[in-house]
Amino acid sequence: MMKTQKPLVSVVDDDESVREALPDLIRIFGFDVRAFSSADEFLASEWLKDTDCLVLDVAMPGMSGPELQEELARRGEKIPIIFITAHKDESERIPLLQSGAVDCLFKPFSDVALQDALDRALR
Amino acid sequence: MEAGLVRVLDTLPGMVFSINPGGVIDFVNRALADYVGIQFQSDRDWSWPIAIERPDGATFHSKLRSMLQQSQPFQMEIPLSLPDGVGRSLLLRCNPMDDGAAERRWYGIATESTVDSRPRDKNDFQRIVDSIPVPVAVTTPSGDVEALNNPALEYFGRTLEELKDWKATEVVHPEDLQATIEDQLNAHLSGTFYNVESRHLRHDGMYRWHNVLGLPLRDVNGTILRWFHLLVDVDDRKRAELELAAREREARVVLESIPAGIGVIGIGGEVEAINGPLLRYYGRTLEELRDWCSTDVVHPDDMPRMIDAVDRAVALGQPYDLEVRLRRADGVHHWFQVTGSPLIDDEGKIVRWYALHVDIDDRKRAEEALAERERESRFIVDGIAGMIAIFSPDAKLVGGNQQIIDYFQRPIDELDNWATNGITHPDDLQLCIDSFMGSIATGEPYDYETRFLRHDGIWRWFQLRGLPLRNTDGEIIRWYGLLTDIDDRKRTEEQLRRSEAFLADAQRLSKTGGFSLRLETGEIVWSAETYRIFDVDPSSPVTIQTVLSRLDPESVLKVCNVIETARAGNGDFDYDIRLIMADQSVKHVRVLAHSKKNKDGEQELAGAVQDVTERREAEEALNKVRSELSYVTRITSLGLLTASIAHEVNQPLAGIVTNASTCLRVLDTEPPNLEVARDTARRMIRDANRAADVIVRLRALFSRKPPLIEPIDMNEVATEVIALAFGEIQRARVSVVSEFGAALPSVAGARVQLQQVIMNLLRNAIEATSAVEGRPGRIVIRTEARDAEVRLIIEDTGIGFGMDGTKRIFDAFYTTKPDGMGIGLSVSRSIIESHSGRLWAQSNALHGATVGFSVPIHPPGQAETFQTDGSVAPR
Repeated sequence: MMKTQKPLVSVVDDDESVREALPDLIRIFGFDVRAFSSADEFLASEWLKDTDCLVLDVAMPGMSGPELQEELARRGEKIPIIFITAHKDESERIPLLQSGAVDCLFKPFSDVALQDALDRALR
Repeated sequence: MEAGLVRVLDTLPGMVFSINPGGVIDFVNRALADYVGIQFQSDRDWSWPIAIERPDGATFHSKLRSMLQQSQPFQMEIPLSLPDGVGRSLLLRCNPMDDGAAERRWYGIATESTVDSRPRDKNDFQRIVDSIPVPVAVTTPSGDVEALNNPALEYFGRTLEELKDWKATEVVHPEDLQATIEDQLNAHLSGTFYNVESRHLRHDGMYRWHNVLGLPLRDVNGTILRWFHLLVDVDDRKRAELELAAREREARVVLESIPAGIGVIGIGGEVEAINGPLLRYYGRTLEELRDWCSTDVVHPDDMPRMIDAVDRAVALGQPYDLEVRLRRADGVHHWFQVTGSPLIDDEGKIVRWYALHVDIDDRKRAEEALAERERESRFIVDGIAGMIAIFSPDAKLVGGNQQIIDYFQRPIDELDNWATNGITHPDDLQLCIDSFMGSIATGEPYDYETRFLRHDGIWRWFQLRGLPLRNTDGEIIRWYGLLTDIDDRKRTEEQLRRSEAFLADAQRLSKTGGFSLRLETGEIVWSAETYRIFDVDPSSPVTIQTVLSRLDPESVLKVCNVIETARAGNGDFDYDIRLIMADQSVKHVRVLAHSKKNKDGEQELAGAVQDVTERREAEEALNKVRSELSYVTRITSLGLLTASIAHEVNQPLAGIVTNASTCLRVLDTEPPNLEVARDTARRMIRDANRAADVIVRLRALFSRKPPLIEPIDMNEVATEVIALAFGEIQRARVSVVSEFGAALPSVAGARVQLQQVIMNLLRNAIEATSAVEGRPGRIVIRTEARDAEVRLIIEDTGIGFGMDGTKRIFDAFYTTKPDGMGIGLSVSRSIIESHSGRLWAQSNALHGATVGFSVPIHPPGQAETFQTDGSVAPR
């Protein structure tokens, strides 16, 4: 499958509801979307190199969102990352932003907040 | 004869006579007639008064006639028996005269014989015969007693005059008199001496044997003038001889009549004589038996022994004695005891052998039978599973079987001192003496128990029973004692007694009673405690009605159902009933029973009833407390789980919001993409339900409603708990790995309670693991089915329990956490135990700890049960 001219947003979340809901919304924003259920699936994917922005769940079985961020950094992949999390804990949000994330959205988040974050990530 | 001549002849001083050849005396002058005392008358025959009892008297006439036939002068002595009783003899001298007449005449003169029987000098003669130290009698040839010496007079104690008529008196034994007279007469006739043994009456009235030697005294012509009779006392010898003869006769009678055989064997081994009984036994003649070795009279099996014994005896000169079988005339063999003894002469030489044959067949067979009986008896006695002691009537131990020897390993002689040698237990000794000696004294059987010291130093209990053996007269001849080892029984009895006491105590203390019900007859047996539990008078009979009248309606149905089921066959029963007591109080009773056929083949329901009222009340109280405590712990957990709850709720909410946003946006497009809108709407409904489920589970977890007992999939509840704790897991930055067993069977349990336990264990693991720095935190949750239970095990790499934490972690209010209450694990254990399960914990070998629990699987086909009191019924 070939990459289109549209920026590619990859969603990595173990929660099926999120994986099904987010792609439709992000496509409405005008981006291409790929969804992955785990960090390992994403790392093994051919879409890794084409990803322009990563919407990444913080807490997942296996490799967590921050761990994937570290792995990407270790590999030299400079993909803008928007963290999403169901734990509404501000104390966790700050370190993520400090680590270079574009944003950290608390579930449930608004479509506007997501679109804003994507715009910032792909600016 | 002319008268003048007659006067002349009568005047002559001599005795003259004439006699014709026929021996008829035809003239006797006065002198001769006067001498003989028979006057002569010419017209009457005149004859000599001959002493015919004298030997020469009896033959006088024949001799005279013989002389008269001759024509030669002759002389001859004529013994006369004259009126004075004195035997005399006349010497006749005759000459023949031939006067031309036809008949010769003889003329003779008679003179007294020169050898008169009367002693010329009586004093000399008397001195001679008196000097002889034995009785001596002097008789005339005709046997008249003329004289006796003093020893004779003293012996007889009679006068000479009294003894002259000895033939008419009893001085000679009547049995010997005739023989004596005949012997004397024959001796006189033959002119020889005689010697006879006869009895003579002594002055004291006793007859004594004498050897009487009669010697004739002759004149120069050989005519016997007198007889001398010497009486030599041979009484002792004679009596000895008679006795010996009597013995010999008796011996002969005995030899022929005794029921024994006697053989006389020469020194050469040949049979010299055999008595009648033995000959009759063999049915052979002496000749046939002389060479006995070559006959078959001795049994072939015994012959070599017999020959050997005889040969050795003969060689050594020693008696022999052996038992052999001898063949009877009819071919039957009898056992004989043959005893051979040598007869030894004065010089010590063996002259012959006497062999006594005694038929011992009956004895032998009796001995064999007795031996057989003894063998049997010994076999029986030794085979008896007990010790046998045999006592004499005076209580002396005289025998015993092998068992008694083996037990004490002492000889019988030592065992006889049982009262003093230490084999009888000191505490029992007096009883033994009193009982045993009492029976010895009274003859009554004894029966008592005592301890005896075994050879290895072990005391063992024995029952001693003794019986007297009496003879036909009723006298005790033996005591037979049987010593039965009852040590095991004794100990068992003691254990049983203690066990019964324990059981009674245990029943009373545990309020547990026993019962049995014979289902065919309805017969019921209760233990004492059962009477107490049911509050029924122990003296009153128990019936089904007694039982049912005490039960509440629900229990009546339950019991009737059990009875019907038990009647149908074997089975186990475990159920609770309630008793309504007289004061309307309620007793909770648990019944454990089983039905099966008893030893009589009857179906019987037997079991135990336990008054669990107090326990039930305590359980109810405990359940209430536990329920409260569980609720408190859940509420406590609520705050800690808030973040996880938010996570669980926020996930579907995120989906809903995102889908709603998408939906709105696609609806705003022209034309609206309805397909996507429908998808987002469906996803919103799904996520909303998902969020609702989370809320329902949370409400169930934290509600106070009694839990529902249902078949539980352990993997499912574990997954739910992990989901609930996911936020916490994330924050702790530990990895949780699920290793769930495949196709696990369901367990019977309360979902909320099991989730609470799993949540508690998982949170403990998360906290313990997150507290460790420097190594990755890892928690493994494993489920598995093993035996009839399902296990859930949580293994972490945390800080572990510490030194003694394993022992105390289940204690209430024990905690290693700064903010912990210390009730989580104790509540968890309480929940698991109420599921008839088990909760455990252990430190890992390297890092961390492992905590797990197991609960029994849900029996297939068993309906769900609902416990209104919140407890789970034990299966």
